Amino acid sequence: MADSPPTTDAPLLRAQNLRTQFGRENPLVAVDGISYDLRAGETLGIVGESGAGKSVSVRSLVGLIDDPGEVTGSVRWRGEELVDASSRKLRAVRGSGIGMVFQNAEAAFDPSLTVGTQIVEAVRASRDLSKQDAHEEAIDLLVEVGIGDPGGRFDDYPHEYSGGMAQRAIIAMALAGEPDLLIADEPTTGLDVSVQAGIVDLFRDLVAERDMSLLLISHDLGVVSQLCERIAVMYAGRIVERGSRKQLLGSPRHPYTQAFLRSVPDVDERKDLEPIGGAPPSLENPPSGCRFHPRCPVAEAGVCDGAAPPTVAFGDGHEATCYAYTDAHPGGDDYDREAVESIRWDADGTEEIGGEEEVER
Amino acid sequence: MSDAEPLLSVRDLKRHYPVRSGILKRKTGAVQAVDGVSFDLQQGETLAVVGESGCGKSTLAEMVIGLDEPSAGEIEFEGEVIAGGVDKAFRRRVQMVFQDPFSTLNERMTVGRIVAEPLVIHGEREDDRAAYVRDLLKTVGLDPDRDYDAFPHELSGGQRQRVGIARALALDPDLLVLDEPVSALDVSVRAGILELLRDLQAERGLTYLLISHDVSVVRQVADRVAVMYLGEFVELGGLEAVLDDPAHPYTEALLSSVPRVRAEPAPDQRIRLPGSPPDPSDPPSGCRFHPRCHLRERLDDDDAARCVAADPELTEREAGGEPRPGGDDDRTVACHFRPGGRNY
Amino acid sequence: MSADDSRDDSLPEPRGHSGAEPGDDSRAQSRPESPLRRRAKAFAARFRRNTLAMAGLLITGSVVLIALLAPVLAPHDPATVNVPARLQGPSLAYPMGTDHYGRDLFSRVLFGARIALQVAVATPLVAGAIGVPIGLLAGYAGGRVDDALMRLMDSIFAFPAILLGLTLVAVFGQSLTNIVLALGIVYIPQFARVTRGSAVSVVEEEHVRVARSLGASHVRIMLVHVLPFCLSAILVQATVTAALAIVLESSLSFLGVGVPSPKPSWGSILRVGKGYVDSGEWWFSVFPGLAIVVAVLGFNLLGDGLRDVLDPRTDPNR
Repeated sequence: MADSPPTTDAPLLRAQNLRTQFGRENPLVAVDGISYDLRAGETLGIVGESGAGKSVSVRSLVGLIDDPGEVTGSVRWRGEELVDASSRKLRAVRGSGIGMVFQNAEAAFDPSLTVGTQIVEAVRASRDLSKQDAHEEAIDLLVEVGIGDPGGRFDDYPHEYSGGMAQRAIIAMALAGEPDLLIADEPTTGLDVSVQAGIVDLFRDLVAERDMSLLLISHDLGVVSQLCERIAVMYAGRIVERGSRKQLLGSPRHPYTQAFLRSVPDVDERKDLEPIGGAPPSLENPPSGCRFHPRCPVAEAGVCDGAAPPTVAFGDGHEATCYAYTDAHPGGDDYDREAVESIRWDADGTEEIGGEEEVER
Repeated sequence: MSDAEPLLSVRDLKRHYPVRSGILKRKTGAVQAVDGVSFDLQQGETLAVVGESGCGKSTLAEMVIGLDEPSAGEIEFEGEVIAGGVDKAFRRRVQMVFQDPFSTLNERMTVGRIVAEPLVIHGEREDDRAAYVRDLLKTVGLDPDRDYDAFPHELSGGQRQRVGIARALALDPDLLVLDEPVSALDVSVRAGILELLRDLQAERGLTYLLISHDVSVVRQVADRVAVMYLGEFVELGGLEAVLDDPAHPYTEALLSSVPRVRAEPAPDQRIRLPGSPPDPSDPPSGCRFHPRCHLRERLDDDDAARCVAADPELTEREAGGEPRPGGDDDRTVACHFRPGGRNY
Repeated sequence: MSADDSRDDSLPEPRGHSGAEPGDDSRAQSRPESPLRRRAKAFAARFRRNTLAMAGLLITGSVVLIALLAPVLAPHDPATVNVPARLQGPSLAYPMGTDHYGRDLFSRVLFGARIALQVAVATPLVAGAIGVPIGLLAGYAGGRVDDALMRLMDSIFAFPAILLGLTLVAVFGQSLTNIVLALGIVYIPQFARVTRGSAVSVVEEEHVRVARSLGASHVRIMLVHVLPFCLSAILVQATVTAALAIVLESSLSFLGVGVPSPKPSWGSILRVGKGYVDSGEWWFSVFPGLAIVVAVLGFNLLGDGLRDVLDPRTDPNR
């Protein structure tokens, strides 16, 4: 895919043609050439279903892919290449520049050490502070992530924390190095909705107050839409569509995005649910051409199953990788190409052509 | 709907687990996982029990299916009390669809054997078992030719859950307990399973007891909703009444917490629940929700004291004596001040 | 949305998985084959990729072949006494030399493989036939049944294997059958423990809860829903026990209470050969000793390899 629209400042993080494969013979390509930029203060959400390669893609960014995984392409963090960087350098970047929050909070802590000790260690690993100062900083972090009675909870062990609190403590640890980018991989999955909503609030506050960038991975479009200004949709290892939240949810272009949105059950309204036909493809032996073509309602034989589809720009950074918007595809009623190509977003985003009204609630 | 004899009737059901501590394992307390739940389930309807983890909804389901025994209260099935454990005849009429399609299928058995398992156990259809199972697979949207001899690991999550549903249907039950039937599945697959459940209910007149933490799933399939908090129902009523116009403050907070998919950032109307759910072995006095209730801070001292002193019963009340929107909802709410005192 | 579309996640094409466990597609495509064959094929494929298991199989396979073909391979009759040729060093005529009666050691070691193999196969069968049901019941029932059965097993286990073997042989009398029976009893606790160990965790699994909810009997749950998941651990235990049994039988023979002569048990050859080490007839003890080492190594490698192949979590090749 092409780069995002040019702006003057250099991106904080730039992934280009990132590719991660496991195994040599009969390789499993979990991430197949994805590219994106993330600028300071931006919030990017990557959505997709299990097996789409979301998690692997962010782990690939910061060198957290273990053997036999192999990462190629380019990841530039403040202009410095991270792919093939030394593990020492990667650790340094993970310690200070990039904070990471993963789904399973309990597993991220060492169960034999108190939460406080582990946060102090994280603080001291990235900043040159005395033990006393690091202790104070850790308490401050616990306060910042909303743990009541941080002094009292400091000496508790991870198992003494509830799920939501453990997740907050993990976020505190990720903040220890004063990161400029927070990567959160399914940070609310498995939490109760009331707890989840608290974590979403926390992320929103942190991003605003610390002027951090956020890279959020989630299968939950609700959470992503609440936190991210920009959204990328992954399918079978590739990004199939990207754009602003308004573009993506208000007028999705890629048939997969459209189908995905239609399949999401709504809390406020009963509707006819439309499952996506078929099953996600095997990554060991993915379909030719557009990987969604075997399940796509508008797939065109001889076109969509041929070469990889082109990326079509709809303006203002909204792009979809799909033949339906090119001359190669005869098009259908749903895909009024001229209308689609002429569409430009209004400031208020009320325009809807070829989009799905029902998601704009 | 209410004059017919209910298929399932649950009266003041309780499940307390003893808490033992010390070297002598003395009983020092009890976790009140389910503490006095009552409801009726009519033939052909879907009642959803919604609540967060630890509220006791799964324990409730296990008691209905006979995997757990109530400490007190009774379960009536077609007017007959199911006492002293569950017998085989009842087991055949009530089946469960389990949450995790990855662990609830025996990995060493083929799909055909898994679906036939209830038939084997109950000695049913010895002559045409294979043909019957193949029909069942077709009913749930699987391909018998391809899937009958498959092992679970060869199927996708959605297909596995279909196998679980086929197994639950094998004995032609009346009541299906659906325990988080789609929570382990991807969104796009979820929709297919929910559609299947809807279709099956329409075709076979099945009655569903749906256990879920996900209000959006409840919205798609339920007729009535019970909201559970710390072992008790706090609100019970028609789907629209409860979800569109929640009366209990906890229902309100729960619904407001669900992340909506929005293209535009919406004004934040979330009700924030302070703290985390209390320990079910030591529930708060009076209304169990009172320490976290957002309504309570707006009450005057006398009223607030009432929340701490008395446990509100599930009662039917009209808002200010006027019929509420949605008309004849038979909603009951366990709150001293809702819906009677909507001004709060 | 039509009913047909709603079932689309089961359409024949494409055949995919929901991400967590890619890599099973090859099996999915060969679906028309019988389920058992598909399992066996998959197992064979994984087995072939495991060096350890293959080495173990090669060695144990050779032992089996030697045992079967001993009459063909042996240049001499293992029992024929030829006093003039006694205590000869290795030569072309006698590749491993001769013993104090002038019998060909090579032929005796070859025939000894027959005894070793009988012991290696029969002992786990005897021990498993009793130990597996005990462990299964203990693991499934839990509580007092578990405590009682496992304490009983512990008390057997507490005896040193060699002492227990000696005692049992003394009681039963000295014959190959009795030795196998004695060895079998010695190893009952191991099978019970291993079976109980896996049963305890399987019982906690969801599919067992499901079977209970369907009203399955205890026996059915144990046999259909628990035992199959313990089989891999039991199989590994069987190979380990096979190796241990060879050693223990050799030890008993070495002590003179093993398989009675003139059957050429490696242990009894070693026992006599030991007396000739000081006088320089090294071959008399070295070759039977090597035979024991190789056979035991083979079974142990096979066991370790099987453990890896059967438990994907520890298999480095997966």
